[in-house]
Formats: sequence, C-alpha cells, structure tokens
Amino acid sequence: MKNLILLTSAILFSTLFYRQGIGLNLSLFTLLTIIVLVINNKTIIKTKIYIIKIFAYFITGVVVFLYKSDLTIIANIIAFFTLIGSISELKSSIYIKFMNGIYTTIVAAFSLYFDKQTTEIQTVKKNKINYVYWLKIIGIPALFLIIFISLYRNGNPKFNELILKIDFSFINLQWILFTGLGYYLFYNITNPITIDPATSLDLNTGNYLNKNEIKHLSPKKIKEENKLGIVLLYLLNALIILFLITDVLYLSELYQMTAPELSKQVHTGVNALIFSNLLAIAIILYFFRGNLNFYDKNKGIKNASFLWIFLNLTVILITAIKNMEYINSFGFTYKRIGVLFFLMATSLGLMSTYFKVQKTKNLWYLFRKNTQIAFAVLILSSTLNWDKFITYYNINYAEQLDLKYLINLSDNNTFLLKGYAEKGNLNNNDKFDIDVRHNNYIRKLRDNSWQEMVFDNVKITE
Amino acid sequence: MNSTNNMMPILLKAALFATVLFWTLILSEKFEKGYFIIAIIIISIIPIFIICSLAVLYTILPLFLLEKKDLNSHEMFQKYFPYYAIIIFGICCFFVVNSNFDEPEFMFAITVFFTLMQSWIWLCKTGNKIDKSKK
Repeated sequence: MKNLILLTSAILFSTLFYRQGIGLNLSLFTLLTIIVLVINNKTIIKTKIYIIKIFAYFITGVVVFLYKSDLTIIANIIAFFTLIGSISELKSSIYIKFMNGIYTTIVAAFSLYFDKQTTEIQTVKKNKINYVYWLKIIGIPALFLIIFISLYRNGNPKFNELILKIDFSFINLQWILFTGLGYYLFYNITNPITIDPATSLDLNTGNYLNKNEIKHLSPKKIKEENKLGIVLLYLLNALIILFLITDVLYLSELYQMTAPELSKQVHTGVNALIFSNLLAIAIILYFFRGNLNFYDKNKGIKNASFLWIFLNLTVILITAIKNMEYINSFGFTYKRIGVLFFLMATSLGLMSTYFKVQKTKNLWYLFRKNTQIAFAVLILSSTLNWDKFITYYNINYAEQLDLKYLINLSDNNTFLLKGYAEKGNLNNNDKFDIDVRHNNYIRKLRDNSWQEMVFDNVKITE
Repeated sequence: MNSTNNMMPILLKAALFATVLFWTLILSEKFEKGYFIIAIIIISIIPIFIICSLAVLYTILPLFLLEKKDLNSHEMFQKYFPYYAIIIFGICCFFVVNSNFDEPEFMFAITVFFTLMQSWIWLCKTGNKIDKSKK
C-alpha cells in the first residue's frame, strides 16, 4: 500500500514539475505532500502543533498560486522543511526542525540504508520479494486490458479515436528518471529521521538557566562584575538619553528636508541602529550569562538593563517615524519596507532579551523564540502581495510618484498599473512602457501550461 | 576508524558510479548512438575519477583523519554525515540556482550530490567491516 502511494505521488510529481516552471504545480504539490504525510501518519491531524505547521505550509502553497514571487516560493520551501522536521521530532526547536526537515528530505534513504547495513542483530528476517505475486498483480490485468482495448477499438470508431488521441510521448527515460527523483523525495519524507546529536542536545536543553550548571565565580568577582555592569549601563543610558533628545529635536526639522537629505538621514540612522542594538543585546547577554542572574543584589543592574532596552526601543520608534515620514512623501519601496521589517525584528529581539533577563532564561531561549518569530513573520509576510501593495499605495497616496520603480517591479502589479495608465494622465513614454509590460505579461500567461498557471490566468480568461 | 586505509577501491567505485549516473542523465535528454559517444564515455572516466577523488579526499577524508576520538564508522556517520549532506546540498543548490537551472549544471549537481552521499556509505561500510574483523 505504501509503495503504491509513493509510486502514485512520484508520477504526480513528474506530471507537475517535469519541464515546467513554478505556478499551480507548487500549490498542488503542497496539497499532495500534506495528503501523503497524513496518510502515512494519521496522528498528525490530531496534534495542534502539526495542524499549525500544516496550515502554514498550506497557506504558502495557496499564495504561490495567487501571486507567485520569490518570497512566496522561499516561504513555501521553508514551511515544507519545517513541517517535515516537525514530523521527525515534534518537540525540538524550530531551527532543529528545519535542519531535520532538510536532512530527511535530502538523504533519509541513505541514512536508513546505512543503519540497516550496520544493524548487527536483525530479529526480523527480510521478506523475500514475491515476484510471481507481483507478476500476477500487474501482468494479468495489463494483458487483459490490452486485449479488451484492441477489441473495443475495432468495435467502436469513437473509442478508437479516443485511444489514438492519448499521447504518451512525454514518457521518456528522462521523465522516468525524474519520476525516480520524485519517488526518492516521497520515500524520504515518509521516513522521517533526525540529526542525532543536535536533536537530543536540543531536547535535553531547557529554556531556563540552571544554577548548578554555571561555572561559579567568587562572591568578590560577582560583586565587581555587578558594579561594572551598573556603571557601564547607566553611562550608556545617559548617553542614549542625550542622543534621544537631539534626535527628537531633529524630528521637527524632518518636514523641511529634501528627499536625498531625508534618505541619507534614515539610512545612516538605521545603520547606526543596527550596530547599537546588536551591541546592546550583546552587553546585556554578557552580564547575564551566569552568576549575576542569581546574585541577591542584582536589582540595580537589572533595572539599568531594562531601562536601556526601553530607551533602545524608543530609538527604534523614532527611526520608524522618520521612515514613515519618508514613505509618506516618496511612497513604499522594498528597501523602505526592509527597514520597517528590520525595526520590527530589532524590537522583538530586544523584547525577548528583556524576558530572558526578567525570567532567568538561557541563550537557547533567545534562539528558540527569535527563530519562531522569524518563521511566523516569514509566513505572514508571504501572504501579502507586496508588489501590488507598493503600487497601490504609491499611486494613491505618495506625494511623489516614481513610476519607473513601479514598472520595474514583478508582474504582480501589471494589471493595477495598466488600470492606472488607462485612467491617469501619464506621458506617452510611461504609457508605452506599461503597455509593453502588460502585453508581455499577457503573452507569458497565455504560454503557461496548466502546471504553470497562476491566479492571473483565471483573470484573463474571465 | 580504519576505512581510510582502503581508499582506492572506494574512489574507483565512486568514479564508476558518477560516470554511470552522469551519462545516464545526459543521454536521457538526447540519446546518441555510435562508437564516438562510447569513446567519449570511456575517456570521461578519467576526469570524473580525478574530480571524484579530489572531492572525496578533500571533503570527506579529512573528517575521518582529523577526528581525535576513536569513533566507529556508525558514530562517525551519525556525527558528521548529516551536516556534510546539508552543506553539500546547499552548495549544489547554489550552483544550480546560479546557473539559472540549466540542465547540464543541474545534472552535474545531482551527480556530485549522489556520488558523495554514496561514497560516505562505502567509506563507513568499509570501516565497519574492518572494525568487526578487528574484534
């Protein structure tokens, strides 16, 4: 039964991907993978975490069809590996799941083969393949089918026509090899394995710092470190407050700035912010790496750290305001959205550092939480048609429109631009560029095979 | 772990495996008949052997030689194979994506990947036999 499922999946895999671009096929592959995994292990639809992972993977599959982009394809691949890794070991951290997912997908067959070879005691004798049985199962029905088809072909000209129309020309040696690759892939994902040292280490490592596992320092050294931390963090707090005051004053001048000045201000601000936040997290992690977490008089250094986290968050907020002002004036671009994403990621990083210190968590906690957040953000961000969003915002709300930038985005905004060109007062050059792009896209859509179809194909047939 | 003592047969097997796989993939796309292609396939064993040997000797063998603990082949396999497979897979993917999914590069990457994975199995299996015979 399992072999039949694998074989069917492999043939479907070939049908979907052999000499095809990405489109509907990836969405159908997502569905096929989920069905095969559920058939192979029915318990996965009863566990909440599996369902969440399956849902995330399914969503990324759907968005590939709705608005294919590099981001949606990458999100789909990452969700696929994470789901497979979850089946390998449910309780591991998300980055271990991802690694286990890759490992299972690419070489589970090799690993299982090697394990089989090296297992010294084999209690169960390997069943011999019953060739006669398989010959009967496949050979006899095939023989009768051929006989009856030739009989019916002679008896009914319509049936004969239908049989002649069936085109098996796509089946060649390369197609068979590709199907073999599909079989290998499905065999691997239905036989999940784990990277042993990494997974067991991850499972045995909790989220909390253990007092007994820390290398103990003498009370004198702890006291000195506490004092050093307090002095350093309060000085840094004073510095950041001074920086914030000047930055707030500078905010009022934003409205008078020219575009290049504002751009320079935002980008240099972000670069400084990247470094200062990484340094902030590193300093806090250094002081709270061990003994100070359990020191009786650590309230002072903790408060200084929390204040510093709060002030860094304020710097992020001010940079976000500058970026938003920039966006209000000149519209969205990927770079500006990237800045917003970075600011969000930094804020989340600082918040997880706060919880690490507050609740005496370890470094693993930080990795786990931050990778979980990154995964969620990736999946959520893939659900938005960014090119269409950027185009819609810029043509409707931006004070200054950079049409060349919009024309150079992916095909996902083509229809929106075409509509804008038909309504708006554009110069002939821009209209011409948009028309050329629109026509090329329509041609591309019409050339798509059913496997490569995207949602825009449905739109043009309406 | 003494699998490294008997490298030559493994390198030869790897070269033969890679030749068969590579030419099967190439000829599956466009089958050519004649003595000329047979001659090319036979001659290609030499560069394929060199590439395979370099890849195995420079990427897999150092792991066996540099391992300070006296691990048996199964432990070596458990410890290094997963990361090795993931890294080689990443490099092959990078190579394929960079070549814009061109078929010859794709076939080359598939050959490299499967040959190296199979070489690991041969290397560890050889070590395993030697380990057992020592006991």
